Amino acid sequence: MSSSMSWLERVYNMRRPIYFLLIILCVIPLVFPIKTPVGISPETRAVYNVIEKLPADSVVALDIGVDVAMWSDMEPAVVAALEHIVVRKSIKLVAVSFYPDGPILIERAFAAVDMKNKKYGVDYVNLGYLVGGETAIAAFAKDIRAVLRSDFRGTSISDLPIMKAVNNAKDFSLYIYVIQADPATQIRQISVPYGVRMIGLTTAFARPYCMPYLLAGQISGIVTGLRGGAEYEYLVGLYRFGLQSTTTMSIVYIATVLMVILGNVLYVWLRRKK
Amino acid sequence: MDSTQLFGQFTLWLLTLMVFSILVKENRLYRFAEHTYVALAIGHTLNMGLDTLRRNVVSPMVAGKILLVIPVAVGLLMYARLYRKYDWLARFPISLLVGVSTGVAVTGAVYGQLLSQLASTMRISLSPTLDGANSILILIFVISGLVYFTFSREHTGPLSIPSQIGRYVLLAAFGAQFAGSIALRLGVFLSVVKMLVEFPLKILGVIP
Repeated sequence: MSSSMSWLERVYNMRRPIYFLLIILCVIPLVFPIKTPVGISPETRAVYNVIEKLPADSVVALDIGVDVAMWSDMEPAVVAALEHIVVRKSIKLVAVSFYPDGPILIERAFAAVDMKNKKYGVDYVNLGYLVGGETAIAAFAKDIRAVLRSDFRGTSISDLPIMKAVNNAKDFSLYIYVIQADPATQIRQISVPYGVRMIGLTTAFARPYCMPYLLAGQISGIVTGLRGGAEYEYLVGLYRFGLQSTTTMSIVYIATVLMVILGNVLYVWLRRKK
Repeated sequence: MDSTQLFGQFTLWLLTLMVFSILVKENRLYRFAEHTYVALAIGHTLNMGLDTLRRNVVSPMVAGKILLVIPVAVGLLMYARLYRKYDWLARFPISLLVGVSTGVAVTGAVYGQLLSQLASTMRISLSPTLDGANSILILIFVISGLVYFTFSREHTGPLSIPSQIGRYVLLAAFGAQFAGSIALRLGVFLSVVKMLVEFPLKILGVIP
């Protein structure tokens, strides 16, 4: 019995085999990709429909509220949204960030989309990083020119054709917030005071925080993490990292759930034995 | 891929491998990568902050907007904390920050979070659908959660059952957050593994 216990305890305490199992489970489907069906959630479809129904003369704001460590989870959704808005719908897009990492991530997303027929400053712009947290968001929403003199690439705001008709948050037809944790600040400062429609591209972690606002109608739709990014890629007709990862995601999620169950069973069993 | 991009990709690949070496055991390569990451993060944040100051404060001041010297001076008072004799001066910018931040947040919070969320919670549907059942459950769970956090009365009698339900509601909420956290980390992990596998294959010409 004691040898059986020590074996089970060894299984319970093993960490490295789990790491390497996860790495192997990730690598196999990436090297040998298998296409699996993708179900579209109502929240992702809502985001797609909101953008699809925007008038051609709209200006959309994109607020990157994640740091570089979370970017991999959000990149597919952001790139698919850019493809949908700027390339397919030819709608103008103003990107801004209240996170220091934001401007570089915006540039990275711009580079990932084929914008050959679109012109920087006319069809899309990166306004860069604005320091000051919620106070800065409020000031930006009230009067963009009062807090920003130039864009991320150093061009004066007054020299940017895209900004001619944009002075404050009211001039945006839609506010897309890329959410790391809690969307409350943007709800308080953009959506409520200016009545701007908001959609969220959220990390998987932020989804529970967004649901109350979604149910209250304060957010019109959300695309959640890598899985949501895959759904959006499917709707837009892209086949990139999101869709490429669906099989891997399924395998790894199943393995994770099994390991959580196994860990809990072993925990309870070993505690009873002691 | 030009040489700069190649160097950048190789550095990223190498540093990622160094970080993953912690899975085997604690070692100097991991420490090096960890310290490099922290240093880069601090350097980047400092650079972005200074760039914001340059774009939005220094350049306009040079162009004649001299009144911007006032917020700059108030901001510099923060550094008074470094000197014991003058540290009281730092209270001015801190009180200004706290006051303005609170004022800005409260105005939107009353309608945006409190009233809207109250209205949404109260809006129950009696239709025999999943949405209808959901709306009733949400109301019950919100009230139970609030009862659980009522500390002014002992959770006995009529408060006993709602308090118990509230406890399980909170556990379920934490479980959902934990699941979201795992999903987020797995998403990031997937992209890292993809990069680790793809980079050498690209260099070797196995994949385009």
